[in-house]
Amino acid sequence: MDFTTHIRPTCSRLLFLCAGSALMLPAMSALAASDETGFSTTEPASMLPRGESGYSYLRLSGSTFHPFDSTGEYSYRSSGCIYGTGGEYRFVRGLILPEGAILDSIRFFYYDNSSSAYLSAYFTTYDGSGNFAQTNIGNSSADGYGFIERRINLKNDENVGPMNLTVAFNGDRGSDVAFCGVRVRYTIEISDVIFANGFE
Amino acid sequence: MFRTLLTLAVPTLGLLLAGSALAAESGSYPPALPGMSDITFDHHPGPDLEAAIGPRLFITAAALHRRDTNTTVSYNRGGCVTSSGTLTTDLALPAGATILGMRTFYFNDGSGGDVMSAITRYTGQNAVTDLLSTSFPAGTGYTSVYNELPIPETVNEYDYAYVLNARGSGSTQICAMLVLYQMH
Repeated sequence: MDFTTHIRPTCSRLLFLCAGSALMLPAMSALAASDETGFSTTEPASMLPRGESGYSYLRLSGSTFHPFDSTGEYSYRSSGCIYGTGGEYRFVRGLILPEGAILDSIRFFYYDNSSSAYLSAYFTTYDGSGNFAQTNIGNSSADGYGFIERRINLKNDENVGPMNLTVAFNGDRGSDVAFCGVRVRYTIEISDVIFANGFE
Repeated sequence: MFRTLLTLAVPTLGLLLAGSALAAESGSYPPALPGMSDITFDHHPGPDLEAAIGPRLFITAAALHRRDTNTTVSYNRGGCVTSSGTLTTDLALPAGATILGMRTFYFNDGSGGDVMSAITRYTGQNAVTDLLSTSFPAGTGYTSVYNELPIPETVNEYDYAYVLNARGSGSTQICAMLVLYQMH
């Protein structure tokens, strides 16, 4: 998907937003790196420091995700983890953050005890016109309980469409590969309330 | 001029009427479940019935979704459902809020079954804790019961995902859950 086609109309109206969008383009191009069913490799997951001040966190249990369509069958493993058992293999949830929040990073928790099957995780935005931009967060590895994460650095503003968190169960489905949840790290910008009414 | 005044007066009158309706509704607590204003609930006592003790989060059972696809769900009325397995949804509270307890709304026609509700937290790494787990036997009619958390929980979404789990079995329907919490 060409994400710039989504940004351009706004830029034509407000020049200063163009500059801001240009700064966002590296992040946007990262989003456009793969398609919705692709399983491309990703950069190594980084270990983010624990609880840095200024960050907010949103946690979602794997058991609150649902399949893309009604053919998706799944079971509950334990500890908030679900695993696919047949049909649709992708599971999804909308990510709702405050307007203006900067999505810093996403961590997907999993259980993987399979030599062949694995879990893939994605962050996706949509433009409502059939286009989407996707970031491949990574694939699980057969190390039991683990996580994969990636920095996103995306501001939730008028240039960003609906955000989704998606996982895909690849290979034979069963309790050996389960999805356990997500932790989203974000910041909220302090608005300039003194000059909010334009009296500066 | 008259037309301008009329334009302003009509919506203002509408707002006033709406305001009085809201004021009348705010006098009853817990609020009536949608479509069930004709039914009398037996509300067991609890601190959430006292005025202004703290904010509350009210979720109808029909908004929960099944935790696995083998679970079957039947909708009755007023947001009440029965299910063959566990239903779940996020417990989304502000960071730093302290969860104090939960009121469970349920219905039974006297023909058996029970209802379960729980506040559960997960680490995503094989640790699970039921902060509150309740089970109510079959009874008769619409009932709500408040249960206090044994240990109040301060919301920490760095370490935990919080969910509400519930199940209504047999002829016992789970109708809603109301979480009482406190901000510091």
